[in-house]
Amino acid sequence: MTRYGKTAGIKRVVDVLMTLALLFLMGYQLWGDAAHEWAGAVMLILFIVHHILNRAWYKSLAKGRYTPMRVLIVAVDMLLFIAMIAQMYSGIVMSRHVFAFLPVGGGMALARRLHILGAYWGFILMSVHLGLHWNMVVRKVSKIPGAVRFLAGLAAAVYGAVVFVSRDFIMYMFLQSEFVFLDYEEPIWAFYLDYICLMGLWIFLAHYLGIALKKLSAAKTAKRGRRKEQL
Amino acid sequence: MKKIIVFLMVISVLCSLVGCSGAPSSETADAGSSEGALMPSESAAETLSDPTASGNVLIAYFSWAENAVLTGEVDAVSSPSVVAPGNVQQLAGWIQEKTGGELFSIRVTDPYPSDWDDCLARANEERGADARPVLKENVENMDAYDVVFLGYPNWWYGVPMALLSFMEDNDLTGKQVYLFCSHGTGGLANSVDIITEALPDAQISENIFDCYEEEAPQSQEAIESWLAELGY
Repeated sequence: MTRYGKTAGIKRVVDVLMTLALLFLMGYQLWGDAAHEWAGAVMLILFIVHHILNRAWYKSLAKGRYTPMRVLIVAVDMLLFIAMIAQMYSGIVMSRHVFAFLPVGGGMALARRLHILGAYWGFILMSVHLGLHWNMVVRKVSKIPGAVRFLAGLAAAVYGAVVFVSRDFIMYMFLQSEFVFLDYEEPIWAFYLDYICLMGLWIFLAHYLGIALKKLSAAKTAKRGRRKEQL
Repeated sequence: MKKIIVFLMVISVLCSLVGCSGAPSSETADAGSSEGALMPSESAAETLSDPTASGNVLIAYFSWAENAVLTGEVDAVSSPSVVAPGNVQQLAGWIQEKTGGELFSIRVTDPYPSDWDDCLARANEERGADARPVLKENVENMDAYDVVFLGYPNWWYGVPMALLSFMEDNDLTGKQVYLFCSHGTGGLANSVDIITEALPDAQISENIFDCYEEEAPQSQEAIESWLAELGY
């Protein structure tokens, strides 16, 4: 079952870079305007490269059976795609540095709100997306016992759940607030401890939900198989 | 690759067309703003029986309400107050009553749209260009003041660029500066750092007054207890 093609290595590098870019982008107030915009531009390029490298996924969309797991993956990816496009568009409209030369005059009202929605939904969706493909990471750390991995994940997830509440994600995801509270005084490590654990929460949920869904499908298939034998 | 870039550009152009429907032209600029705003420094001077009793306090503030073109149709619900008295203007008034200082309204020659989103759009442009909007007037006798209360709203996680114009055109070297701010859910954001950077030679107190814009009209007591902490 080795699906490692020539591009596998590049793919992983791009995936890691995108994850790092996402974390960098979430800390807007820590790095300043210009760095945020450049990171966004890099993310745009990585996003395009990611799609080129994984174009086979789009080609296979119409083929094969849709298991619950596959439905989940496709739905999350579609939503994530929308969130990313929303971020790119709104970021370019509000740009003061990198894309300021573009003759985009209006749309600020929409862009301002869209950028909050895209940022908070996008972060969650990206984490879920990561979680649904977490097996790629698990393969790399397969020497660590499953129980240890589960407990480490659980610890991060529990703290991540606290962060999800304390950082008002629900409020921003439903645009109950039109301006994000940005703490410019917060230490960088504290911010990233929170955001990495929050990412961990959604990776954890998605990863184990994925495993459960696969088991469910397998059980059904087995049942169907047994029934056929009995007939 | 090209296709994708073109596709993204098409989308962004389409979206921007949808978004930029009703930006009011700023042609009517100067007419609107000045007539509503009473000359604050004059009215303040009148109420003072003895100028020296003011303790040499200046209350300089930027209020959107005094820097906007009023078009008549203002959405008062979903935005800070653009109708006089503005949020910051009101706070400044209470500080004046308590300290007996002189009010100075920081006003730009080219007022902002009275639509909150349009106003933010221009504010964003000015921030990007690191602009210094031209002010109508500066403080005449800055030397006469030892204490400056500086008030502003949070615009784009910072201050309106006119505040930077003010801080550069008026020498606040050696002054005791107290900040007060009216903001939305963004809080003080980066505003204090921006001001601190612009005023390296002033004494900026860490005791800052800030309130949510919707609570500004009910903040008289809060601001008075803040003033009491400062010794007024």
